[in-house]
Amino acid sequence: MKENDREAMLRAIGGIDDDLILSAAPGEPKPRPARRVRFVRRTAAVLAATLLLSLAGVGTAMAVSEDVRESVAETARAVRDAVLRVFGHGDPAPTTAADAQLRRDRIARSDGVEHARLTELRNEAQLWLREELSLDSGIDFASEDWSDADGVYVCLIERRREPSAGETAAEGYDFPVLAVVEWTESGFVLRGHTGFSEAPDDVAVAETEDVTAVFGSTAPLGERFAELASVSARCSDGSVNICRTFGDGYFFLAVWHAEPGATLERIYASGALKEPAAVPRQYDRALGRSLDETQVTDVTLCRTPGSDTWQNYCAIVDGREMFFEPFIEPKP
Amino acid sequence: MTDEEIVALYFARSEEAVAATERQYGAYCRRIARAILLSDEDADECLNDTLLAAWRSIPPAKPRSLAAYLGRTARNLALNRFKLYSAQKRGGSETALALDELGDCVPSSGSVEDELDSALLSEAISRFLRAEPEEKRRVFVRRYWYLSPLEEIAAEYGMSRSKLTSLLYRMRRDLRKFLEKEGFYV
Repeated sequence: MKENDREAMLRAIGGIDDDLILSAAPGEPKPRPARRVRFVRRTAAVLAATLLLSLAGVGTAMAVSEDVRESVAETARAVRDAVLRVFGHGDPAPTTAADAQLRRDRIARSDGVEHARLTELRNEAQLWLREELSLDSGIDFASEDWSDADGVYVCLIERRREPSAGETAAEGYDFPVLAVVEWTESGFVLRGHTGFSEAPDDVAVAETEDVTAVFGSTAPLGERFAELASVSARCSDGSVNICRTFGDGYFFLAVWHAEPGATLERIYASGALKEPAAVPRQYDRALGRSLDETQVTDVTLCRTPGSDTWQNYCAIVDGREMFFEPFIEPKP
Repeated sequence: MTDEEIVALYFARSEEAVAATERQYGAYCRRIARAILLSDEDADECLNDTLLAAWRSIPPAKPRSLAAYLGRTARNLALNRFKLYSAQKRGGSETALALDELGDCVPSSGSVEDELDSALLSEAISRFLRAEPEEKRRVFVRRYWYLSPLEEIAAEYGMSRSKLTSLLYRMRRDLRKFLEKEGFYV
């Protein structure tokens, strides 16, 4: 594209009708709906947790006592077991990279898509997504998941940035976006994405309107994500990162490597697509310290004891529960 | 003071016209220039140039909307200055970014500068914008006419930066298709 062309376009836009110019004259910034956002964030978090536990068949969220850590741990185990039952993923984690690859291949083949074709489609989808979402070179596809049965592709994308002072290069990643792409006969179709955001606070009001518009309504969105949940679980072995989604537009994302010695890389927890979401956050530092040389077998959502419940997560690592900081800061 | 009264002062060659213009539209023009040049000092100079240009051009010009006339003048002068600074490698990153984004709108395989009549192109862009919903139209004008930073627009329209970026991308893509459909390509 010639520089002169762009400049000529800029000047041509300068010649648009007066009323169009005046109607868009700069005004005062509107205040962000902070209070509502906080409320919806909390609500989304509670609903997401409730939904998860309900899906897992362990009853409602309120069944867990706040003050007994052991009961929480038991519940976490129950959740994990129930999730595994529900999603049919009860195999032990692979012990080698080759094993992991074999299992990936097996999953691909079992769904009728050859692995090579799957890789090709993934690459194609990534290229397409970069263009569709106007992604620049500072964007990485951090995680991806693929429903080969119905051509649905889910990926978790991160924005790479310069690490701040005191941060390692690995920490130089920013807030993720979840994109859902469907492969159709006419090519890829972007079904929705949660959008990028410069700051966690912005995520809350994120792309509700966009996603709803793309999906047409929230109900099909929920159904869609319910379908994706089972798909995601099937892909949670090997070195494949996981991206787990649940019905009604709520989703919970966890990313890890299950290879020997691998660390649990990150946990993302996010709320709703149809309502402003809870804030995704990264937990690499905390997890990296705790889980070096540890085999990660599962990650699930639970709550921890405390006054402000439903705001903590834990991972199941070799049967042990690892608790992490709240992903939503407790508000007074 | 109304636009008609200020224009009348210009026609009477009263220097009060310039003072009245600055009082009424100085901040507006300065803001436009500031968004493009990212410098208070340059914006001030640009405002002075705008006032001088108005003094020289009215009459014979008799603008119906003084705000649009002055704003357009300020924008053009600021862009000229931006081009000069770009050649000298000075600042203007937001304008450069907006300029880069506009590559999406340029109809395929055509050289806008060489082939298109700018006035016709402006008319076509106006038609395209009129067919868009009000908010999208305003956001587009804010970005590519006023060259406002994305953060500022997002804050003013209560949307996330990512949503704004996505919206603008789709509009640029649609504008390009529209212009090609209108015959703006070689």
